[in-house]
Amino acid sequence: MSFDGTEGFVAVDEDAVAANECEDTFIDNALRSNHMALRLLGHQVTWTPRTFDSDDFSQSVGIRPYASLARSSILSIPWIAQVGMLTTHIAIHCRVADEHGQNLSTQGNLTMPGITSARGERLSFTNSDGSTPEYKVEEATLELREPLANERITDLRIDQQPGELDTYTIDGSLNAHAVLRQGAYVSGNSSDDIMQQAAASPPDSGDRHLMVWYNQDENAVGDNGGQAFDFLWAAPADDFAYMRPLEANPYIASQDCELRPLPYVQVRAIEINETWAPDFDLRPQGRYAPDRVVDGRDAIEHAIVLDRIYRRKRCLWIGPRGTEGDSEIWPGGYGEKFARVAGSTSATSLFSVPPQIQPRTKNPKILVLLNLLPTWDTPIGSVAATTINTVAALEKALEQAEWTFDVAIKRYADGSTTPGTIASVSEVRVLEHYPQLLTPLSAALISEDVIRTGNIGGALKEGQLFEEDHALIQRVVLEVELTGYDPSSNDAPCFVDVQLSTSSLTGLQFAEVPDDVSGLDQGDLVVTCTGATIWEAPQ
Amino acid sequence: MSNEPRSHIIGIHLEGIPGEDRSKTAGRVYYLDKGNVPNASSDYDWLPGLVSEPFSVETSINPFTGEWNVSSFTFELSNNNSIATYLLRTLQKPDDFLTIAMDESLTAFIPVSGTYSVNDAIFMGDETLRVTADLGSGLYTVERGAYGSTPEAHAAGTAITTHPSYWVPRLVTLVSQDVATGVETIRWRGYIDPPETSEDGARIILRTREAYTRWRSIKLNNNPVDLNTSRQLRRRSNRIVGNAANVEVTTRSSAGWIAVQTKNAVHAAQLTGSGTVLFQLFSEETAAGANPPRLDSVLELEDLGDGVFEQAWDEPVWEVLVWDRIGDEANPSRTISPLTGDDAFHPVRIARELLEQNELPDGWTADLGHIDFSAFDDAIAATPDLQIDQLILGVGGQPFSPFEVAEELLRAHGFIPSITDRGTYSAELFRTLNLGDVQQATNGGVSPYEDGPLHWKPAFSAGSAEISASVGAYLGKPGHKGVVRAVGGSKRAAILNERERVAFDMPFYRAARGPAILQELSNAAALLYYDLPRMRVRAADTLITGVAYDLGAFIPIDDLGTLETPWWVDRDGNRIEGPDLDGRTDAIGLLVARKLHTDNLTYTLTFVFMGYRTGGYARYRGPAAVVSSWSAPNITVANTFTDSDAGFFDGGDEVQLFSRDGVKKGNVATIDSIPSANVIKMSGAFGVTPAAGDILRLASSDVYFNDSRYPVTGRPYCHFADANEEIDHNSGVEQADEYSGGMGVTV
Repeated sequence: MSFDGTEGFVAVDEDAVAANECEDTFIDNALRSNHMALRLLGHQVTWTPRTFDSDDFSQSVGIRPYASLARSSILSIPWIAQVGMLTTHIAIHCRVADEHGQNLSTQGNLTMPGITSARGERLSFTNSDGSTPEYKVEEATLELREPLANERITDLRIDQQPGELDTYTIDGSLNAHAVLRQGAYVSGNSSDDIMQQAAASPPDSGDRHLMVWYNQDENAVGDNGGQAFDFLWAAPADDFAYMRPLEANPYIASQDCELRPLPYVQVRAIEINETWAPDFDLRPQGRYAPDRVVDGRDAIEHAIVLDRIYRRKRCLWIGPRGTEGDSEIWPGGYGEKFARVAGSTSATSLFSVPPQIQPRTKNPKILVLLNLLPTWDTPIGSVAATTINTVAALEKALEQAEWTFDVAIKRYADGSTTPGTIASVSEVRVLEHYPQLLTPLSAALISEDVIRTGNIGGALKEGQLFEEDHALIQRVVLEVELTGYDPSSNDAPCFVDVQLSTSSLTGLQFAEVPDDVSGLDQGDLVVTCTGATIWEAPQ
Repeated sequence: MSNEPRSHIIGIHLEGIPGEDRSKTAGRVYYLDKGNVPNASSDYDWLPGLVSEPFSVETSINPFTGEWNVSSFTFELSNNNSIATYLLRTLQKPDDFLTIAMDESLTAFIPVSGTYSVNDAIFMGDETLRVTADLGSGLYTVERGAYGSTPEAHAAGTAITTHPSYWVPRLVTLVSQDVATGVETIRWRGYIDPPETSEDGARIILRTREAYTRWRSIKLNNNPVDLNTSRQLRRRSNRIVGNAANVEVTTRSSAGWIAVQTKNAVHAAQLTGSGTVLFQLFSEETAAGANPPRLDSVLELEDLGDGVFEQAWDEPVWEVLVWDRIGDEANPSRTISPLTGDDAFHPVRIARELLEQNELPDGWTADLGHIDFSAFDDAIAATPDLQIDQLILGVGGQPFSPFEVAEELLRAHGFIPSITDRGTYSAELFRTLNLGDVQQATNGGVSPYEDGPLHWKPAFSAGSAEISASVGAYLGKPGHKGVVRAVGGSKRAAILNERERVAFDMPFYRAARGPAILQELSNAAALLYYDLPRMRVRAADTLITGVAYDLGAFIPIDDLGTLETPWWVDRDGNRIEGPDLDGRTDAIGLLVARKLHTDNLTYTLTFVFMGYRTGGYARYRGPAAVVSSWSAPNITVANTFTDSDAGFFDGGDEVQLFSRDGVKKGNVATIDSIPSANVIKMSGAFGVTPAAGDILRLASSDVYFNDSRYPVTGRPYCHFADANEEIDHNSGVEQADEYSGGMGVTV
């Protein structure tokens, strides 16, 4: 009997604290142990992205994989790292495979920027292509070296990156044009189909998403010298692509090149289980020894600790859950991982959470945390003279925009078939918008451009954020007071709707649009939600 | 005891100075001859010499701020031949030299050339030796630490004098003697300032200052070791490399490395057996086994520049003393402490080590003696879980004050410096009045003299309080700064800047713990807010009352009856005019100031009434034990809560079994005895068989009433109250316990 919370929560009978009972070391240790047990019980929340044919645990087709040679995210969501946080356990229901018979595996990292190191906690994504079923659970536990003392809002990220480039050559003896800058739009040699997205039923062996373009560099040191590129987009019937180099600023002469395989991860669910340091800000057991003074601190300590535990924020939902694609072939069968809203004067849904939000405390605050990538369509076709000055003026004109965020909490009233709003908030936030293509410094911006303007091929890495993308993400936190909510009598779970609107470009929030730009309106402003969490904050 | 003063003499003893009668082993004392003949049994050689009696000396502490004050004595001695030739003589050169080194206990003494007789005094360093035998051939035996000096080691070649070679800062002790009984009491200790005569040369004026004033000005690390003096270290990429031949380093750890600091980063540097310090200091973790900065510090290195492979590292690299309990990010097990044992990070242990050399290396500890460490040791034993996060001493090669560091460590954890009435430095836990203090106080109180003051101050603070703390500010880090203000109180006091402000500097906790520490300190703010009255009275000598007047001690005011117009105001505002306060817990005072009147050996004492607010005292937490097994009539317990859960029970205690979730089982039974640390022998039956996992607890108060443990009360333990906010027991009804606040950090 350890009284350290590891034996679970036990009730303390009223006999133990009855009138004339002695306050003794058993009582204090039992209460302390129960506090510790509450912290150790932790809190769980699960992200369940929409996936095609989710009943089959060996299903691969139609479920877009996460794959890249450079480090990129599977999940990157805003997260409230709270006081006393010590361990974060994740369990990922996933399938790991490659399409070229190499039995490749990849590696993952669980991190919280500003709290963990860049490496964070490693997890292994071991190839499960030959398993039955092919979906399995990979787990990792991130443990801080000491409990977090101050609450911080950060990101919770799960990234993947293969440890090395596999040497298997899918297709060799190819030739490509030179690549002269990062994020390049590259044209291949027409005699080779090296850039051609040839997937018929992705993920398959023709899917460039699951390959690396490797360009040997005769100037590099060693036999394996060269540059490797992830495909951000590849044309299905032609031979050009957007590429992202593994290393920055490559200068690659036209060389022999080849395609090599990538492992990939398909995810059906990620459970996040947070537990807190059992003894954080608790008095050590020695303080509750017999024949010690019982002073005011003893009298209030248990209540203070319980209050802190009660007031801990709980993540209730993780999103966006994306859309469901049945074939992953652009455009009809293509599911999108991120949620997007194009600017409109009428409120447009960014996402809507079905009745899954069920707070457990009375009159809580509901916090909606959004990671947003605001962009604007590059209106190349709308620019009369695409001079540098015009583009620069355009960038300046559209660099900021006011958005109205409407969050509504809804719930079914008794006997009603239509959910009614029980609380809402409307807040204005100014977002900084980035041009989707004119500043090709970010894989995410290029993917956004592909999604908005492309009609051939798919944004292969959509849903994945690379390292350079995180700097562009803007966080918005919205609070809704759920006044009158009583979990003891209001059992119906809640909907949460998040809608956005913005005024026309003639509003004061916009700088002057250059005269030589035509056809530009607020619909060219886009807000992409790359991660969202909804929290209950007890009051 | 009688309050009547007795015939006494009072004199000053000079450390290590023999009397005219060399057989008096305690040495020379000068006293004021007023006709009282010194008792012949004394080990001191009492010599008339004082021409006037020193009047008084006052010592005080402020338990809220941790500040303390002491005053000085000035003695006037007759400038007769005996005294003048001793005190005013200036030595020209050593008389002799030591041939063979002596440790602190060697009694064999071999000088180079001198000839000595039995009872001759020999002065070496701060020690006086007395020759006890001449063995011939230049070999003698000596008594070490003669005449009140302290034995110390002496190297071969140490200069020897046959007369004191210095007077400043020689220890001087104020001693009183009851001439009838011969009982002698040390009253005060100080150090001598340079002696001089009066203008007319008739008297020798000996000014002294209380020892602790001098001690607080002690600085250590006065000769800091810069391991890069010759700038032999090189900066290469993200590391500093090189080696330095240096045999002067002191902080070598058991792991063979020393702690070094350059810029704002702390590292470990390898110390070889040949005294070479090897440097491989990385700005970051680069590979397994690399040596990143410790103490959560960062070695910031500027770019070397294009084409530069390495360059000289011009920054000094200081040897420092480091505690780091957390370790570094990559390897939490890399904890550092120059101390060993479970209490290697205990603040009181560290304070103790800074004041007395045990494990700390030479040069990093004061070690002056005359400190009562029993209170330190009690505190360490009572708070085994207390640990600081970090401490670094000697940053930037700067000297540090061991007393100031120790006092900050103590004060932040609720300890206040104390000076006993024997002039010994100690520490007391600043606390609310509790059962143990009441128990201790029943051993004796004081009754004020009728001709003394009756000075009442109704509040210690000014109606409001403010506590600020700086946590984790070290190595250039800003740390966490916060303020706790008592809620309510006088707005005017705040506007007029009349708040009672107490500031804590706690670099020894990580800044992240600042909020939790402030919460702990808020208790102190609450205590200040509610105010506590003070009273100043004069009382008889400690020898008469039998009560030690140690600052920080709890002492009851027994009786105001002898005062001409005795009164006392209780917490309900009633003026208590009755003669007797005996037994009132709210009249037990915490001694915060003590003034010794040397003319009549009485004391003026100032008390703070810590139990005034509650009118009571804090009770203790009751014992409990988890049953491990039962073999009638013995219960073996599992020692779940302490090392001896059974030991906290007592024969005669009435106890009951509970399930782990607090449900009562069976009947009340009585303990027969405690045969061992984990066995309880029962004399009664529970009616159920004790099972493993059952909890043994004291029965409810109306059954349990036992004054065997603490005679002052039959109910030493804190109890939950009934619906009437009362606690019923088999000797009556008491009001529910009122909790008191605590002081100090316990995170």
